[in-house]
Amino acid sequence: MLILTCPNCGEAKDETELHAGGEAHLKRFGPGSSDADFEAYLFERENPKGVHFERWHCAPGCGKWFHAARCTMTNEVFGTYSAQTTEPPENIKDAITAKRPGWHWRQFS
Amino acid sequence: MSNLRSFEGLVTVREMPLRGMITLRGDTEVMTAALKSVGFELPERGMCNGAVVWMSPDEVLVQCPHESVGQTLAALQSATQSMHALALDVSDTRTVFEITGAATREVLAKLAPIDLRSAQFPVGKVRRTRLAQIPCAVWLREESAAEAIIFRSVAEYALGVLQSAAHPQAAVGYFASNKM
Amino acid sequence: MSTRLNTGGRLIDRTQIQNFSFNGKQLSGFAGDNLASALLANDQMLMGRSFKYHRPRGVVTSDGSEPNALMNLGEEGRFEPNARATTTPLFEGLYAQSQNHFPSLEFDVGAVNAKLARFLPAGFYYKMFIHPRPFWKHIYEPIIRHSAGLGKAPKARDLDTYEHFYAFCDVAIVGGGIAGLQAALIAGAAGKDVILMEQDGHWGGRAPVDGDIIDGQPAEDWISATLKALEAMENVTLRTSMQGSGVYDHGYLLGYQRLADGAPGADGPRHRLWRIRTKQIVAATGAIERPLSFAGNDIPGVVLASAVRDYLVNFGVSLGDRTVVVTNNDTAYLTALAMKDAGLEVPLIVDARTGGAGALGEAAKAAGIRVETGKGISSVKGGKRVTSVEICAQAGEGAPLEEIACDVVAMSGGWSPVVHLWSHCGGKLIWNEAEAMFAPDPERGPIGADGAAFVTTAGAASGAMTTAAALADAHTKLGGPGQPTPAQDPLTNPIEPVWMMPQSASYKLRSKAWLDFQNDVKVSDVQLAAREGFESVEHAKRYTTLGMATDQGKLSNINGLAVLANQLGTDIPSVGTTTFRPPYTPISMAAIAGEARGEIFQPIRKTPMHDWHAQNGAHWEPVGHWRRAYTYLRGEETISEAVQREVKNTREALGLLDASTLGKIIVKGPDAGKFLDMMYTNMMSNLKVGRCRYGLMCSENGFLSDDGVVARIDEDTWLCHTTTGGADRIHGHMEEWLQTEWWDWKVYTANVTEQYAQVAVVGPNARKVLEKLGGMDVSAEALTFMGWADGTLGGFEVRAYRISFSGELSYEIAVPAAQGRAFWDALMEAGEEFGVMPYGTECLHIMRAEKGFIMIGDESDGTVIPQDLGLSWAISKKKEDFIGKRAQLRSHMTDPNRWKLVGLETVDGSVLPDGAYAVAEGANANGQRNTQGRVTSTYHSPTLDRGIAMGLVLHGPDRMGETLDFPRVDGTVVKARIVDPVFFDPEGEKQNV
Repeated sequence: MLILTCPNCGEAKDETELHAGGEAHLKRFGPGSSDADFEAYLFERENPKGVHFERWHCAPGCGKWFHAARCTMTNEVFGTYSAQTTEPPENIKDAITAKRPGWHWRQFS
Repeated sequence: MSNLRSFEGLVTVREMPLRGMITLRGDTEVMTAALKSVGFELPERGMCNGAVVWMSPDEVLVQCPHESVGQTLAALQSATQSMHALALDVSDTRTVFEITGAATREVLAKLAPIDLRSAQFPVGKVRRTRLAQIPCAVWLREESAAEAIIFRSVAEYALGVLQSAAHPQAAVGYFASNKM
Repeated sequence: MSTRLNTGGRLIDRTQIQNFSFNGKQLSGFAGDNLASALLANDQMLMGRSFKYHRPRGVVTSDGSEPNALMNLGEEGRFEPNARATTTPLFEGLYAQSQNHFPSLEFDVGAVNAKLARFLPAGFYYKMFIHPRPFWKHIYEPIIRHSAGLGKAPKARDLDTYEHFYAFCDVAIVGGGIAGLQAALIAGAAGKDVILMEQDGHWGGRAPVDGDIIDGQPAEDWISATLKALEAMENVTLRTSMQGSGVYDHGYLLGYQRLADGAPGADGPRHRLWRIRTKQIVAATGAIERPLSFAGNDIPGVVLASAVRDYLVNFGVSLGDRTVVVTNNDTAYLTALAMKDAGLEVPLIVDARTGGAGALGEAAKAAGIRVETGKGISSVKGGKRVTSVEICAQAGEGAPLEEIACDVVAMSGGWSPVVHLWSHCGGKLIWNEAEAMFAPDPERGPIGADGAAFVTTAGAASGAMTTAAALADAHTKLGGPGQPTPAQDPLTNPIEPVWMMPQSASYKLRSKAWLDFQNDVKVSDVQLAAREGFESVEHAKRYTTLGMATDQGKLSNINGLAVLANQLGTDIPSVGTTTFRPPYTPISMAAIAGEARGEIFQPIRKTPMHDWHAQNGAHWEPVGHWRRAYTYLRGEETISEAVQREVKNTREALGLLDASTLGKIIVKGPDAGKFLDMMYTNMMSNLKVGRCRYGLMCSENGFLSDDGVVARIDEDTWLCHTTTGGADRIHGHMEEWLQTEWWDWKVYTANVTEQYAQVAVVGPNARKVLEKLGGMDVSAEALTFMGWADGTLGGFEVRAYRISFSGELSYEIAVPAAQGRAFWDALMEAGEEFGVMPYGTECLHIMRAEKGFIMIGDESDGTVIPQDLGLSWAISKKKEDFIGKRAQLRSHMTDPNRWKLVGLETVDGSVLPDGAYAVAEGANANGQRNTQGRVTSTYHSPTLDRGIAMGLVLHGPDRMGETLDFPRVDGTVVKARIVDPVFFDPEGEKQNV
């Protein structure tokens, strides 16, 4: 039962006040994309033991989406941040590096 | 509405009469300007300044007398005419229950997974959360008075869970206001 | 015999007699008793039967680890099975029955299993009941199910109420023994918000029973003084009868408070489940005494030494006149001394250690108690009660040296720290060789959100087994100021592990040495499991059922895995423990459900007209959380008759539908048109102000997700109708794309579903009734099909949409929700002369099916794309992109063999079964008949007076007129012809008037 702080309303939200939204930082592929790219976008997901980036929805709450960087093994939370970005911000990456030197996830490290 | 529902238990719960409510969406500048045009201020994040309830970074709920909602809405709409904003009359969307008494925090804490200790939940704070199984905005109006703003279709459910939580023999005595 | 002594009993009030019933016998005890102590006071040692062999079982503990004394408690609406007598407070009128026996506790026919014990070893069921295979389903399983389970399942509805409480604090301390009290005192004095909970009804744990001296005073006095100090602290909350049941991620702790178990029927909740979020959890949960594994250790009267002491000191109950104490550590000597002190006989202390005890050994000798060191119990004699023990050399094979008459055997195999709360969330253990126990590894605690351990242990739970060590541990863990509180106890000599007694016991003895008393698992069973290859402790547990009883192995696990390790020729740490899972002891299901029962089991959404429907014969249908009228019953008619009547009346005169539940979402902004073009498969940006358009929404994987009518309100505002179940979901879907993909687009949305009551006014007389109400112009010219307009009707401010889901002349009128009921009443009144009747959702469904309109959830099921449903006309070819477009280009989506929507008309006019499949020639790889289509909606059409249906059929639209076979469940076949899905008024003459 996680508690995550929504960066939009600033509240520490109980997991029962949140909806999980799967992996963060997916790049959308639409018409014109190759079958391989589109299928990867739809179906291929990371399933790491360790550092992971996820989307969460603050509902019932401020109704906004946000991202969380979390360790799937210990549930340590490295930080939460705006969903309106295509990659984790530097301060989040630094926080992870401080705790998990040498981490990498998809193209980020 | 003549048949306003109410009951007494650990706290007194009363359904509030129909209230003018307007959803206003826009960025901080737009909302500030629009609210100013009707004599209101934009509340701080997570707070209610009496009239205006902070709902999210780009949304507030403006409360006014039901009779003047048309006028207030028109003023807000005209103030934001040239801006990207949304102002809608939502007066019929919600029901408000007022909860009063020393056990106000305690009754809410039986239904909402939120930290209601006074240091963490000062008077004036608004928290959008769940009340048992329904969405709810909890506004601590005074130390011993709160308002629970919920959707009108689930008003009876809200009343039911509040009544169960406020059973006279179900005092917990956890908060400073009614410590046991 | 066990009896109440004339003096003693620190927890009972002899002035308050409480009468209770056990197996029909009327007995009495005192206030402060628990059910076990009260039964023992009445010489009722026999309290149950074991699960497998139905062996007689007496109480073996004095706490929540009790495996034997399980009761069916109460009756009817307050019936509860598997209640532990040791944790059940006594009250006037308590009604208890023992379990798992037939016909009676004293004489039980199931006990014949015990005679067959040789033939019922570990894994017997797995080996026996596999052959012959068909026997399992029809013979073995029914018999095993009949004999399975200990208590009876409750049959009546629970009369009590329950609730949750969300509490946040800095430090939550579980366990109100001396370590917990000490921890609370330190945290409280440091100004932290503290919750201290104790599962029993009293504070102090074992210290007062064991006669410890703390800070120079008797433990009892120190406890009172400490409690007084804690009660004076505003920031400390103290609760007894509240168990710390489970620890979960991020400082989540469940506290199970039993408010009224000692006063059934009291006004107010029976249990309260505290859902605590805390920065730190301190598990000051103490330790549990272990049994010793010797032959006959399950005979009633063989009891943990600490429990014998507890019953004596706490309740003034002696378990017997002659107590033989058997131990491998010092603590059991306290029992011998206490019994002797109470004037009871202790013929012998059997100490497996060659060195015996130190100070306590001297004290025992001084009290005149005979002590034999280096000895063990060879076997216990007796049936339903111990009669004697045979002692032997611990180092040998069990040759009896001497038989000693006794009626109680007080055993102690050492102590296991209660590490459950530490372990629930991942805290690791280390084996402490010197103390022969698993204790928390302070370096590897459960990790919280910040990456630091959020659970600590204090006192005996840490493995600090003396009073002084326990207090010092609490002091260190909580970072207390100055020096720890000093304390003394008489424990001096170390434990010597004894996993089998005697050390080399013969098979005959081992097969009578119990590990798990409730599930009848013996030393020999675990050894057999190891020999048969179940080497992992988790496998051995499941194969033998060791530790799988309701006590979750509290007494048996360590002994069992020691036996396993021994048999495997390895050490205990390499075998490891099984996983500790919450709750610590079973908690009531009702406490977990909390307030969510009866009327408030889940939210029921009600429209503004709900009460009218209820008062006018509504037969309800749940749609999402809404309740909608399925139909309105009149007089004696059946549901189906009512539905048929409503369809006919709406087609011939006038029907009203409460359509308030339909989702309504406002989408506004300079980019709203562009956004809606992405959301819908068809074009919405070119919709003209004042007009409506039917739209389809797909998910990104191409499947049809929702549909509804979109109205353009002004230049940059649209109103999107969704299905009833789709309102919140579609609003969320829109916001998700806006917030996470196109956050630079200028669009705001608002879910205004509940702002409006909406009424569909349908039928040939629809316009007449609106004109009678008067106000806005609703003529064919002013408000054309698929147009909308704002205005007034009968004095109500309305928005009227001229849309139709029935093929009739139809308006949907929206009014502010608070006026919904008044508007509905006005329509009913005005409509009377036009033959108005309300209609429900089933009538709605039939009328749309007659017109060939699809219904989300019937024709779509998450695997259907709009192209399957003949809806290609609603998919824009012009748009470069929309949600789902790319997916619909995938090879499987463009496969010409996808089943397509058609109408189905039974040859004999009957109604096709819902969901029926059309069979094709041949069979698939699993030997199942091949299929070529299925029914998605099926009804009796009163308009056509025949069965009509829609379905998805292979190459369906190209096979008009062909007949398909649809087998029914009973094996008969219905034949249906493939036809056009529009059964009624294909030209739309009725709606376009």
